[in-house]
Amino acid sequence: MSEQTNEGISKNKLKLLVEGKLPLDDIHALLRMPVKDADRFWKYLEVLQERVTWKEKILVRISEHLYVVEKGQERIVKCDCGHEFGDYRINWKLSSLVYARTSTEEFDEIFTTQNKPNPEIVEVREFYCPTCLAQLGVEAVPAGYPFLFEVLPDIDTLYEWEGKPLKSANKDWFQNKTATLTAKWAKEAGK
Amino acid sequence: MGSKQTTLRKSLKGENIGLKARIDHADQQYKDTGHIFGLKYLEVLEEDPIKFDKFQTRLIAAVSAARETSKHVSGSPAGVGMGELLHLLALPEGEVVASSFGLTGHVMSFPLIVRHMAETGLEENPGFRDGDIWGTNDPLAGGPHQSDCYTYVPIFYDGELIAWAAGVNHIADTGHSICPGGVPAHSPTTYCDGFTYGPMKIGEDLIEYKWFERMWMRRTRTGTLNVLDEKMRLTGAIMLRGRVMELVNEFGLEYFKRATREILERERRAIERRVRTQMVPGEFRQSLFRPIRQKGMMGHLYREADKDWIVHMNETITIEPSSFINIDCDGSTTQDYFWANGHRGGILLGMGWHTMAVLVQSPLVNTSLLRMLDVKGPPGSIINPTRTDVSTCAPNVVGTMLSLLPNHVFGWSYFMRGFLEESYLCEYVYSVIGSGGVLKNGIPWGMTDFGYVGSSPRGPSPWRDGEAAMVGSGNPEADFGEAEEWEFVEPPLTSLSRKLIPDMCSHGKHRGSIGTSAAHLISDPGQFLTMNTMGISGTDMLGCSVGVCGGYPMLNGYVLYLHDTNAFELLEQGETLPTDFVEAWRMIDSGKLKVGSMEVYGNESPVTQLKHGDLVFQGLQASSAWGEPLDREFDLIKSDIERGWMTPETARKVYGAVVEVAANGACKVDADASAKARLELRNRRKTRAVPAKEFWARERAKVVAKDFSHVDVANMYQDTLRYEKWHREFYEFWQLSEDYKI
Repeated sequence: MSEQTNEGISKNKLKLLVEGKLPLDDIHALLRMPVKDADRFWKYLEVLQERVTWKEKILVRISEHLYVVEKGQERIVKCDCGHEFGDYRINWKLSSLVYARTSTEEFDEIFTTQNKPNPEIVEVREFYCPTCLAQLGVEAVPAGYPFLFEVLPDIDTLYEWEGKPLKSANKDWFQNKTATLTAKWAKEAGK
Repeated sequence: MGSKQTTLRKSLKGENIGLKARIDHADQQYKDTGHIFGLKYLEVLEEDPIKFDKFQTRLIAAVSAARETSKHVSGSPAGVGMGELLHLLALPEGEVVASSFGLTGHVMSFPLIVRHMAETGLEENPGFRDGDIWGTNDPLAGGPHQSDCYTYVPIFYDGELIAWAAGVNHIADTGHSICPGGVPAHSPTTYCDGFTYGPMKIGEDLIEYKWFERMWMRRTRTGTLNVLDEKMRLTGAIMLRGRVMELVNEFGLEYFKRATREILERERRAIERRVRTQMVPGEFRQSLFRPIRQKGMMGHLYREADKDWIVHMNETITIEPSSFINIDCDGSTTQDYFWANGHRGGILLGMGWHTMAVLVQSPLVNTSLLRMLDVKGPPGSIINPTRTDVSTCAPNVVGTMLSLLPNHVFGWSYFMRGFLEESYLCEYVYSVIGSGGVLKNGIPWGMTDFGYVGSSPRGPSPWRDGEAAMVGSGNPEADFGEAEEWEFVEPPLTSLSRKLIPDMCSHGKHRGSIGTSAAHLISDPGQFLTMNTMGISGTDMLGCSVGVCGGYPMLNGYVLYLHDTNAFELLEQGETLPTDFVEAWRMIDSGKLKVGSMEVYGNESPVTQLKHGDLVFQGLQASSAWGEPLDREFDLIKSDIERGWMTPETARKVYGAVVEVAANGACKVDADASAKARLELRNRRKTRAVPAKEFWARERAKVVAKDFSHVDVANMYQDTLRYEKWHREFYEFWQLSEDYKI
């Protein structure tokens, strides 16, 4: 099989892998590759770009539904449904819809055996896309815990590793700017 | 004096004089060049790759033969049946160059032991000589916890120390003062930790001192098994020493020295390449929590330990431009009088369990990973304990829990880069049962049951579900071991079942592995019997803080003790006993199973007294899920129901899948009804959720008012906010002024 050579897999098979439809034998062949295909990332971006209806260029996928895309001079988080969450350096959860389960009754809906978490010490937060309502993230944390900023990708380094640095590369891109938004909210509220 | 020093140092002649100097030199070489031992070029490899490959394969054969042969010396089911042991070959500086299958995480700890020996002057007194036998199980000296015992011999060639041959295994009982077995859920001080020794010379001329055997018999509950385990470790180490001598004779000393070092550097480069070509660099945030409850339990005896905690394990994982992986645990809980003190040997061992499988992927398990990854925590935190009085009984558990999180990240990072085939959640989720007592005939006993250690789940991928009892990341036997073999060494514990528990899983597009059950009936316990459980499945707060891409995080474990039951009456009536806690509850509710009293715990339970006819149920290992549950394909849900892994009620409630089950068990998905049910679930989200800004304002008000739902939560914040980076994150997120104090 071609997958066992350094040529890598075809774009079509990668598409099937992304869709979860690639046969297990083919996946095992990928796992056995002595050296991975060097252009995988670029093929992956092509496959992903073809799956969405919008035109902004995907820079990196960060979740099943979320991408960091280039929009003008900005790099923003975008859902595959088209919803835009804003600057990728600010935790996208702050631009989502949030539902926190805080009672046994609410836990019963998702944990159906007796071993449920204790609602006195933990809440289960679900983060939804405001447009398509997809569940994009789940946190099980005590009350008062800051939203976990699960990933801040170092996109410029990634593209350097791939040998094609971005024209917009700048060290300012790899910074957590979440606090700028919470500071703005506090200011608006007069706190 | 002078002649004695000459004799001692003769054994260490080489390019440097002493062990400490050699270690310092190797560290400096790495620092200066970025290459292990400063090896910029792999000359021996490049000159003759076939010969190099042959040499490497012979090393693997040597460590494997040592393990496979020596395990038959042991009488412990853990050693013989489940292979809970490892043999390894290390360079004089402690870098492990090859290890057998087995407890591979130990390759991360052994270098610390060698460093400890060098730093504490053991090369001067008593010194290292050909034929010496050394041993340790002390976490303050680099060991992971008291249960993991190392026996090792220096290998000399023509008077020069060229390597160490070591055996390590997890013993059945450590003599812990409170909890029989070796992985205690409650351990107020290190003075309860059980038999702790070394690093020390425990024999010479390849014969162990008689007094050491007596120590095992005197200080542990399973003296005979532990003596046999000691002989097992030594047998393999001596075998390995012999094979190494053969290899040196065949390949030559210089080739041996150069090739072993080139193996390490080559493997380091392989990890570096994998990170650079298959992962996405950046900063990732993960955490997990573990309640520990000792209040009311320790009061009169250990007042300082009479507290409850919510232990916070906090991680910022950075995949750096250099490919180095930095794991910063700032914000984790402070060391205290509980089990959760993570001394470095245990931290690195735990990190090794998962990371070897996800990142290293080499048949030649070695310590090159130590040069590509580091775990740091502020002094005084559980990641970096500084006190010598706190318990050291479970740094391995802390390390294993911590390492769940970067391995989530690694699996996710492969996905972000497009290497979905490599992407999965490696969650080495184990638990152990400690039991002990006195039999009818007056014989005291104790045991650690490893059934759950060898049966870890494999977490889900972006393209498939998790699978239960599938892998043993830290253990070679991916199963529960032989039930009968365990019953032989824990006679009152009759095994009722080992099975999957329907509905016990974390839900997602690709669900986590189904939880597994172990059920025991207590039969004829003798004069008394106690049991305790411990491990890394979550307790009351889920196993970790975040699932991946919208899936739910690892479900917490469950332990149910049922006392004074009518189990034997039911058996006499020909009835079937429950095989998991869900069935047990159903039978209790129906009135068929009668119960005098019960105790319910999360993954860890304190020492619990058990009597004839009591029942014990555990449910664990429901790993994290991947992706949004409403994206799950109906065919997968149907398949789960057909296999008995999920009920139609749960399918409907969680996934919006309406599945009809015929009398013959055949399932059919009602596509229209399911589409409608999913739409209802999706719309329900809209009615319940609020914009994050609104949620933030509401929760901030509570934080400002110090309304944290439970005093343990408030105490957790009060403790951990002393650490700078976490303090900044918390204060910036909630926009708190610096005069805010909890």
